[in-house]
Order: sequence, then structure tokens, then C-alpha cells
Amino acid sequence: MLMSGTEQEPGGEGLREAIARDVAGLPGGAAFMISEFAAAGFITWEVRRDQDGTPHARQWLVPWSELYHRREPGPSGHSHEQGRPGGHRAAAEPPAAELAGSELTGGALTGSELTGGARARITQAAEGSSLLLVCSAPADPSAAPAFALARGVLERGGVTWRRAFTCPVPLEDLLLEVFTDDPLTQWYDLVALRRTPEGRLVFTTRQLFAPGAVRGAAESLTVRCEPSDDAGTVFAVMAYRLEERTTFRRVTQRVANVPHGTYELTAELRRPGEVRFRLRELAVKFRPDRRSWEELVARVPPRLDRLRPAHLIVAVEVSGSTARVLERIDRAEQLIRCVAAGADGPLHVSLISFGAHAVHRDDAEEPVTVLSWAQSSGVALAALSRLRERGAAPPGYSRAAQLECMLTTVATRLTGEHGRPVLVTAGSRPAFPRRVDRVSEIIPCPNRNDWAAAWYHLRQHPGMAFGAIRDFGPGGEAWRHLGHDAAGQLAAVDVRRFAADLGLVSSTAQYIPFPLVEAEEG
Amino acid sequence: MPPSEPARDYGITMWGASSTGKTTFLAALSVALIRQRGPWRVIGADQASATQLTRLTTGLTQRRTFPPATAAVEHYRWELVGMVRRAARRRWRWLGWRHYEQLVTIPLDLVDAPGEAADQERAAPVLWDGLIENMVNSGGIVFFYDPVREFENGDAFAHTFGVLTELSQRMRDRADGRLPHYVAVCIAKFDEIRVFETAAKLGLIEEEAGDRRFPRVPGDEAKGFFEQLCDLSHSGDAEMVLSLLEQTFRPERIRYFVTSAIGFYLDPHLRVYDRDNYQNHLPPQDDGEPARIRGSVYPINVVEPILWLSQSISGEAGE
Repeated sequence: MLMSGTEQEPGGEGLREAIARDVAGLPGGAAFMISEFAAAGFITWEVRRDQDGTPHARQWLVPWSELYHRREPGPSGHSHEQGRPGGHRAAAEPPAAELAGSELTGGALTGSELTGGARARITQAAEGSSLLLVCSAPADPSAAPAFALARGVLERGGVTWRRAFTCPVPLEDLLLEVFTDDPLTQWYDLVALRRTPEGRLVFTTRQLFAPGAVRGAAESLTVRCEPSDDAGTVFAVMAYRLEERTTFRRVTQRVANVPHGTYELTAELRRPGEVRFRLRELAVKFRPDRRSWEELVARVPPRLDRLRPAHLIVAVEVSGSTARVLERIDRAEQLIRCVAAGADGPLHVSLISFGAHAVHRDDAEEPVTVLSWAQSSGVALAALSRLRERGAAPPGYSRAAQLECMLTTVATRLTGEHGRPVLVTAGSRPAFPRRVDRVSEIIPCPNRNDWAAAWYHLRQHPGMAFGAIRDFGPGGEAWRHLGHDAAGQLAAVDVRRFAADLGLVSSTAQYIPFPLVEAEEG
Repeated sequence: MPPSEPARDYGITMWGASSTGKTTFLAALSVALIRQRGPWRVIGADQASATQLTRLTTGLTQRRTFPPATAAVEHYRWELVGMVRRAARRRWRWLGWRHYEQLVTIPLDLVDAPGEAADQERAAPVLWDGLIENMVNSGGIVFFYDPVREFENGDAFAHTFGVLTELSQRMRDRADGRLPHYVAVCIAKFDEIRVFETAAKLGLIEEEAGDRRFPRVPGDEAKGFFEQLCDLSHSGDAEMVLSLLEQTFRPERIRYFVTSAIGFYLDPHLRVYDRDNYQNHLPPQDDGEPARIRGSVYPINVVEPILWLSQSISGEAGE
């Protein structure tokens, strides 16, 4: 290590290294001082590492006009604390007129003309309070004599752990570079919420960066954003030391209005204390959030009615008038869109059309048709569009529809592997009975399917729910069963509420201010 | 000198309230004879009657529609024609009987009157008079009792009583006070779910011989079934219909048949009667389409009453 003497640093590399070394060795809560002899005046820098491990610097500037003899000595210097160094020096520069009108010969100040207080201040800095002495304005007639005084004190004292640098690069810039490149000294975690199996919401964290991580490090993780209020979803990073795992300190807190959904969140370390977020699927703006932690915690509801992954099976009756069929299709589309937008987990959608059995020799049988099975909502909506183009099916037997065959088809195909099954039937006519029905006198299903048997079979699936949207009226026994969990009229059904009754979307709007992460295995 | 008796012929009058299936019954006659594969077939005695026979039959089989309601008194002159096996004593009696086939023609002079004609208060006088006059001149009457109609309207007795009172008045000179007609009482629409299920519930169903195994109510149970159905009537008056008939006509000239013009549905793939899927009558549909017939027509007890009446009236007695 270079002892006394001044190191000439045109680019500031040695000084940067020295600062970086000192910053790296700075424990949390500790600080060291740097004296800068700048054009604006004598600046005392305090470089401190916060409890969260983030290095900060703050400065006290004393203009040269106050340190050199003058007619009316001014007050002492001003303190500027800041997360990033600098930013106030230009404003603190002494007026040029004062410098020109000083007592210094030849228009320059010399160390001998420093006030007694100034000499004492500089000497104290050089003897003990400052770790580094830096002259960032070696040609400045005020800075240079003052720096020479300090350097002399340093040389006379023979202190080996203090060093003096002459570097034309502003110290503020060097500090910024050092702070930016400073490796993390603590763990950085994202604050999130986790839903317990019982539905309670508990705070949790997801690790972003380990100690030693440097600028540019990035970590991605999957989060789910529930509906948030106008303020948006909060993305907060907490720092902690491994030895005190229960003590978290907030590093950064930003907020963004993110639509309800699951996203891949990428956190990039910009520098200690600053993490930049972005969502892979969505371009949103992350704004600083000034709300207190207590306020945010208070907004977290105790529970979240999490909905299981669902398999929505929509069965549309295509018999009847074209206008009526199109209205059923419209309602089915609204339902699918509503559920797709509000579903918590993976959503599979199946679409089935059914009409009436043919009864006369000349009638064409319109079979139950599975238009899509356990596909995405987009695929189902596309199939629904094709169904809309087809319109109404041949009339067939006008007193009943193939509810029993539809139910049998669903019961045959349904495995339960695509999520909690929910069957929604839109239509009007009663089912064909399995055998002669002396009450309705509707002819039996030619396939001898039994709607009741199929319904009870489907009912065995865990969580199975049935919803019915009828054209009008309550319908018969089959429709009563089909609307077991939710029932509505075609013209007046509240699709959102209907879906909520079926457990497809949340029954009430729950605003969750933090992102959610899935529970860890085990 | 016997009391003066109006000139009567071998005609048969179809009598029943509206929608009891009289015309459908006639329309099914030809089909029934063909399906029986017996010696008899029905033909038109004149061109107009032949045309009517064709129209009625094809409507039932091709279009599977029921005949429209009869608006006026229709007169069908049909004939039952068949080769009947007969036996004759040989000249030398010790040789026994000699058998031979003989072509027999039984005239069917059928009068189909609108159901309204049997309602004196509502029917036009010409219809009412036409019906009564035809009955006076007929040797036989097919009386239609529709259990479904009776269940819904309960007006069988009112219809029956009015007609028989008028008929008795016009034929009041009978020596024994009873009318001479042969009467085939047809408990109609046996294929209707409520009628069939009632018969089944009463334990009156037996299986017909043959491949298709259609259900039927045996002839000796028909009267009992009629009594049971009358008891079920909401009006409470239906049970009087039976008494009225037997007080008006000679009981030995009354015979009961449980009939169905269209029969039970037969699945074309199974080709055998299915207890769970027998409904052949499609009620009017919601879109205004009238009642129709679901499948092929398999008439039940349509030939039998006509043949019995014809033979009884003509005094013919085939073996």
C-alpha cells in the first residue's frame, strides 16, 4: 500500500479501487469519511453502509469563501444527505466575484490565508477523521493550497492507512460507480403472499439475490397477481442477513397496475438498493411507492378464496329458433370470457352442442357434438364462433332436446384430470326420457340414455358443479338438476355472479396488494 | 203381425264423440287386414269409396298423419272379400264332411259421422239427424269409447245418453224394448300411454303370439277393462255408459274390444315390441305441428269388431 504522498490519478482508477475496497470492508451501520478539495469548496463525505447493506454517501460542503480570510466571514457549511452522492455542488459554488475580490495576491488564495478555523478543520480531517483525501480540482487556486495543507499534515503524521489522491474526476461520480458495482452483502428477497391450504394469506419471500451478487444479476420467478385496487400491486424487496433471518429491511418498493393473472417476473439488480422489475408478458410501468409498510400490511385480507383449476364444460342447445340459439351462444361466450379473465388457475374449456333427436323418417339426426374438449378458452371461443355461423340445427322432435345424450357424452369423456369439472348447459327443452314417460309423453331417447343416471355419475366427480341457463321458466326435473349450483334466465342472467356461484370466479372482489406465489413443495 | 220395423240394411255406423279415433280406425282397417295375412281384404265397392280407402290408408302409412277431423257424414261403401273355408255334409254321410273354399263378400256400409254429430245441442240438425238416421238403418254400431278423452272431459255418458235416447225414441216399437243392433264397443287408443299403463297396472296385459309380441287385452277381459276405466273417470258418470248400453241393446249382441288403430311403436332396428319404448302417438308439438304417428302402424283389434259385426249382421258364420 502506498504510504504518504499524492497519487496522481488522471482517470481515477486507483482512487476508485481504494474507495471500493473501503466500501467493501464497511460493515452495516458503519461509515468512513472522505475529504474532497473541490472547486466548490471543502467537501466532507460520509460513506455509510446502511443496515440493509446499501452504501450511501452524504456530504458537507464548505465554500472556499468561508475558509479563506474575507471581510465578513460567513456561517459554517451545509449538510447534504443523499442516497447517491453529489448533486448539490454546483449550487454551493462560491460566487466568482468573491473569489476575484479576495485578499489573495495575484488573484489566488494560498494556504497561509486560510482562516484559523479552516486550517483546524482541514488538519483534523487529515489527521484522523477522513480515510481519503481527494483533490478533484488540482488547478483550482482555492482547492490546491488547502489540499497542500492537508497533504502536508498527512505526510508529517506518517499515517499509512490514509491516502491522498489528486484526481480530476469528481468524487461524486467515482462514488456512484463504486456503489453501483458494490457486491451485495445481504440476501435480497421479494415480498409475496402465500395462500395456505386453509385459505389464509401469509407473508412469504422469494429469494432474488444472494450476497456477492453484483449489478446486472437477474432472477426470474412466477408470480400471480390478484385484482388490485387503483394503487396497484406492490413489488417490494427486503434485505436480510442469514444470521438474523427474522429481521428484514425494506430495500425498494415499487408499484404497478398489473391485470389479474400469472406472470413471469424478472428482477434485475441495478445496484445495491435498487432492483428493476419487468414482466415478461406485459409492459407495465413500475412506480415508486411511498406508502408505509403498516398501511400495506393492513390492506392484505386475512383470506383468499382461491379457486381450483377448473374444467368448464359448456353445452349449448342448438335446437329452436335461430335467434334463440344465437342468444344462447352469446351467453356462452360471455361466460367463457368472464371465467377466463377471472380464473385463478389453469382453465380448460370444453364446448358441446346438442339438438333434438330425429323422430320422423325424413328428419336428419343431429348428434351431440363435442366441438372442443379440455382446450384453452381461446380454442373454445373459436369453436363457438363456428357454431354461431352454423346457426340452429334441424328442428327434429320439438318437445325435447338431447340433454340425456349430452350428459352421457360428458360422463363418458370426463376424467377429472383437467380440473374441477363444471357443466353449464344453455337451452330450453326437457330431456328425452330413458323410457316411456306417462306424464310428459315425450318419446324415449333412441339411444336409451338416462339423464338422471349420467347426472349422478357426473356428480361423483370431486367438486363437480352444474349450472343452467334456460331460455325461460324453471324447466323440468332435468333442468333442475342441471341448475343444481347456479341457474339463470337467458335474457337476464348475471354472468359474473353465475360464474361465481359455480366457483369459477371469486364471489367478491378481493384486492391483494402483493403478488402471490405458490406454496413450496413439502 | 210383428211390430213395424224400419227397413234396415247391413250397414255399420261409427259412433263416438269427436277425436275418439273413428276415422283413424277405418283408415287402419286395410292395414290391419294386410298385417294379419288372413283371408280377408277390404276393397271399395264403388270408385269414390275406393278412392277414400286409398287416401285414408296412405295417409296413415306414408305420411304418418292422422286423418283430419270428419266434417260431414261420410259414407264408405267397402267390402270385405275373402276365401273362406267351408264344410258341407257329403251325400253319403258316412264319408263325413266335405271342405271347400268359397269366395265370401261382406258388404261394409260404413257411416262415419263427425263426433259433434253426437252432441244434439252443438251439432247442426242435419248432422244429428244424419247420425241418428244412419244408426236406425244400420245393423251394427261401432261405439268408440276414448278413455283419454273421458279422463280429460268426462263427457262419454252425456254423448251416449243423448244419442241412445233419440235412437230409442225412433225405434220405440221394438217388442222387447231393446234395440236390435249388434254393438262393438271399442275401448280405443290402447296404445296411449295412460290407457296401456292402466291395463298393465290392472294386470290385464298378455303377450300376443308372433314374433313382435305386442301386448293385448284378451277379449274376455275387455269388458272388465271397460268397467275399470269407467270407474276411473273423474265425472263419475262413465260407469253409467256400460249400463246404458246394456239396457238399450241386447247384451248378447254387445261385444267389447280393446283397440288401437295405430298400435304400438316398433323400433325398426329391433323389430320387436319394447316395453320401454312403445309410444307410437306423438302429441301435437310446441311448434304447432299436429299430432303424428311415430312409426309404422300395427293396428290392434281393428279387423275383429268389423268382422264380427259383419258376420253377425249378415248371419254368415265362417268356420
